Amino acid sequence: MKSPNIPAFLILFLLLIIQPFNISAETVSIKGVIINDRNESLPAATVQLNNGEYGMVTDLDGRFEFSGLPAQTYMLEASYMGYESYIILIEPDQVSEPLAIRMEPSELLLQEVQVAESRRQIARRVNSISVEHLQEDFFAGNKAGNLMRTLRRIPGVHSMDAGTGMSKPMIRGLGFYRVVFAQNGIKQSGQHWSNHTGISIDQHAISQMEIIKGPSSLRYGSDAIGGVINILPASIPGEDQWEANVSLTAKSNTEWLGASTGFSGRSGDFYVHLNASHNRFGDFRVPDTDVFLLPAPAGAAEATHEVELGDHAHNTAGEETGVSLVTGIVRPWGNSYFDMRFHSIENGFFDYIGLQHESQRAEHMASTREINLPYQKVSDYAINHFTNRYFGENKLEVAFGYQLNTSTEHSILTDRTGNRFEDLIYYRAKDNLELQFDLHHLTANASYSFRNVDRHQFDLIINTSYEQNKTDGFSHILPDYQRTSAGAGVIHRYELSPEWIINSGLRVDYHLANMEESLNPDPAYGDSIFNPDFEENYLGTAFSLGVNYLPGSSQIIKAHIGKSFRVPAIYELGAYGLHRHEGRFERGDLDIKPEEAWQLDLGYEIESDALHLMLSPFVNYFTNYLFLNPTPELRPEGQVYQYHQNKALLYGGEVSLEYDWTERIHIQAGIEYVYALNLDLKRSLPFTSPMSAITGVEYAFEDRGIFRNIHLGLEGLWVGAQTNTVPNELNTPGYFSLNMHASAVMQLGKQELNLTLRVNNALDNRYYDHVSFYRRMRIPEPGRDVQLFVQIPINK
Amino acid sequence: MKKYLRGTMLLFIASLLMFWACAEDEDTVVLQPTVEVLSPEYCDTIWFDEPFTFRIRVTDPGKKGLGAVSFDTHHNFNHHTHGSHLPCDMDPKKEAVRPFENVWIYDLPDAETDYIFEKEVTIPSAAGEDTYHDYGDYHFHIYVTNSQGYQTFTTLDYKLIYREGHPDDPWE
Repeated sequence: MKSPNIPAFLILFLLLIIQPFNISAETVSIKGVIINDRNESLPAATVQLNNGEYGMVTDLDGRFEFSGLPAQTYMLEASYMGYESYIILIEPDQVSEPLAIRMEPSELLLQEVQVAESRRQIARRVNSISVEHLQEDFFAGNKAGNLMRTLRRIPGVHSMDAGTGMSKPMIRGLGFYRVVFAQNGIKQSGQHWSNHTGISIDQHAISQMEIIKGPSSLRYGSDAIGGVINILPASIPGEDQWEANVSLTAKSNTEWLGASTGFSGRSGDFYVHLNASHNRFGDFRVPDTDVFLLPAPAGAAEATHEVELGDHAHNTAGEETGVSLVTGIVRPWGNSYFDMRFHSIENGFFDYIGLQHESQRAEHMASTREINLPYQKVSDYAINHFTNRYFGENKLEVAFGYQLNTSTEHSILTDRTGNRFEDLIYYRAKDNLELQFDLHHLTANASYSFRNVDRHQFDLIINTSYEQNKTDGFSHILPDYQRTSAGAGVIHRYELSPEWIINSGLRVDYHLANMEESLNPDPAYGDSIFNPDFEENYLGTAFSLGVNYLPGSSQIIKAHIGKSFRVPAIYELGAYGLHRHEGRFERGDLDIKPEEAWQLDLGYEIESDALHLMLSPFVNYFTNYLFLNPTPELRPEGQVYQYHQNKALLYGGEVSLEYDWTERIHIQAGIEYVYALNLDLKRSLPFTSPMSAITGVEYAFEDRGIFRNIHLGLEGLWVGAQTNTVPNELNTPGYFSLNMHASAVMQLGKQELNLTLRVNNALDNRYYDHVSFYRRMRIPEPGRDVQLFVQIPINK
Repeated sequence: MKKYLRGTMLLFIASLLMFWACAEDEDTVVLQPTVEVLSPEYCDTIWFDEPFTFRIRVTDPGKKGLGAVSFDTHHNFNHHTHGSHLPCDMDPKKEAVRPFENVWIYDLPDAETDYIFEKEVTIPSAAGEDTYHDYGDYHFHIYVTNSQGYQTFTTLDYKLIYREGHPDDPWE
């Protein structure tokens, strides 16, 4: 790899030298920023001088400034709910320096939750696009088969499922490459082209995350055209504190058994988070089904094979392991840490081809827990290093990352042409290796934030990355390739007044894609060249402009317009081969141009004591939406689908409502809707999830005996029909599904146990999920699933 | 204030229910091309080394024009069923040794929306030097696309046999 980092570092060092500020002489100013133990700024903290002689609250970035003060000694006291008060004496000769006041959390944990809540609210107040912050409480007792399924509860977020352990994120109707999955700003790479590859993350090791709904290329570069799911770092433990926990999970539908354990601790400046988890699950079960009709490839009108399978989706079992270690130091200047993660998943593929053969069907039906051919293994290793350094109120963030993602698919290999017998023997001996991808990914990111220039905040951002993919296996679908990218941007926030905030930004990215030639190993059959040598530069630009109007503390009104871009993925340029899960031949197009999208977002939010209502409509216009389009061409492998670009329009939005009916009854509701239109072909875009609504009621009981914090909830999911489809995509009827949950804290002597019982699809309804792989297979979604989560916290 | 909020809530839930009631419940595919197999007939017999006519009628209800046809054949010695057709009289199950497999692909005229496709096909008995293809129960898989990429699929069961018995087990 060449060093794309050198210019980045030069700019960074220049930034470090810049240190603004100079103060006039007669009177003095005392100013600074208030931050917490995680170096996050604390807005609305109270700052007093000389026991209230002067007083103010900090602004949205935690800043305060007293100007025009007589030159003398002052006693400054900073206070904030949930934190220990901070008192400092300021001598007259010290006042010209801005102060960075670090507050340590107080012992009461309950207040910590309120602080998290206020942080969540602040993020929504200052950002012009729609941002959701999720904390540990969201994940507790709410873990579906994988992270993306867990996130489906959030209006506007959906998952595209291909099995219990395989789901891709979708935000507002956009999925695949259009949603970035990142860990603290470092994008995760993977084989995202395949609908049978999920995100490589252990959801047990996540404590906080943010979800950005809408174009975010400004901060994240290419691909963030639909939105971002970003895992945020876990909180730094308090000084000389440690805590640990053990969690156990059991689920009836898939005979799921899982355990995870976590440890967090800090000794002086040194801290560590350690997590490990392991899950095993069997084939998922569907409601009262007698006969499956196995479909023809590419959704033909008539099923191909009538096969009696019973009530399991065979060979969908899997196994997941995750280990992560975060360790570093925290100092008054900031913190610096390593984040190392390993995640591996092994999944069986639902084998609609093999099930047509008696011997293979018998093998699949013999066990509901065994993983037979065909199956997949994905292992993901990531080593990231992050540094956050404060210079007064200004902040420098530097991140480096290395990721290795290895993905293999194994199936019963057959030689369709009869000329590759030696290859066949070779790959059969290599564990029936059909496809293998080794993806290496290096990232270097830096940002510098100027936080106090007359109510302006400037963030300068630099992102660089290098990706290398090596392929192996009997089949071909993707060539070897390298991708290099570098981008720089500036983001500006201006607090015009306490009511008005203006956000804007600009960014330019350069991408270089380099594909290697791949030749047909069997020249007697088909095209002699699968992929030619190919090299191309792409330039992308993004900008955004947003206005927030904050009339009082209970309302937020936002408008945002942004342009984002997405450089085509190598698969979209160079795909050539049978995508076996879809039973079709997929082909890229070398002439594809980067996607560009213009999005208008509006937001309204009102929060009173009992009510919290959010509305967020959007319109998204693509000048060249990229999608796989069926062609009339037929090949021996199946119908040819080729990448194609058209003008497209997506619009829709989300409504979410939370309401405390009484002190004990809490009501929640949310609706999401997306309408997608291909403006050139006058039809829909592929796989748009239908309108859906979720309503929930939760009742809080009084404490009883050893149980406290007892909650009982009902949740109804209403999903509309989807008839707005593209060629060969089946229409899907609507459905209703009911979930129930109960949770409590059980006190056994000094030991606490957190218990959650969930019942998903409690009525055992039979329905299809429009964007799921199993919809195409005419297999319904999983039936009733009783889930038990037990969490045992161990504290010092 | 509290009452007003409850009212909003109820309205909200009521509108959800209405939206649910309005959601249509249909699963129809109307723009796929249709295929009617004219020859060979269902459960027909085809002889090795003797030509037969593969004839289908293809229509495109969306009137966009036709795309391509692909028909491939594979054995059914293990008696798997296809689609909703009635099963033919089948030979006893057996192991495949040298089954015949092939795929034929042809373009269809994109100006036509109702078309009869015809092709004379001969299935060879020879699988190599002195080896012969397995006789018995076979299928055709027939795929048709229109110019928009809509695809349809149907199957046809037939028996593929030797006029003079199987060369591998001498005719006596």
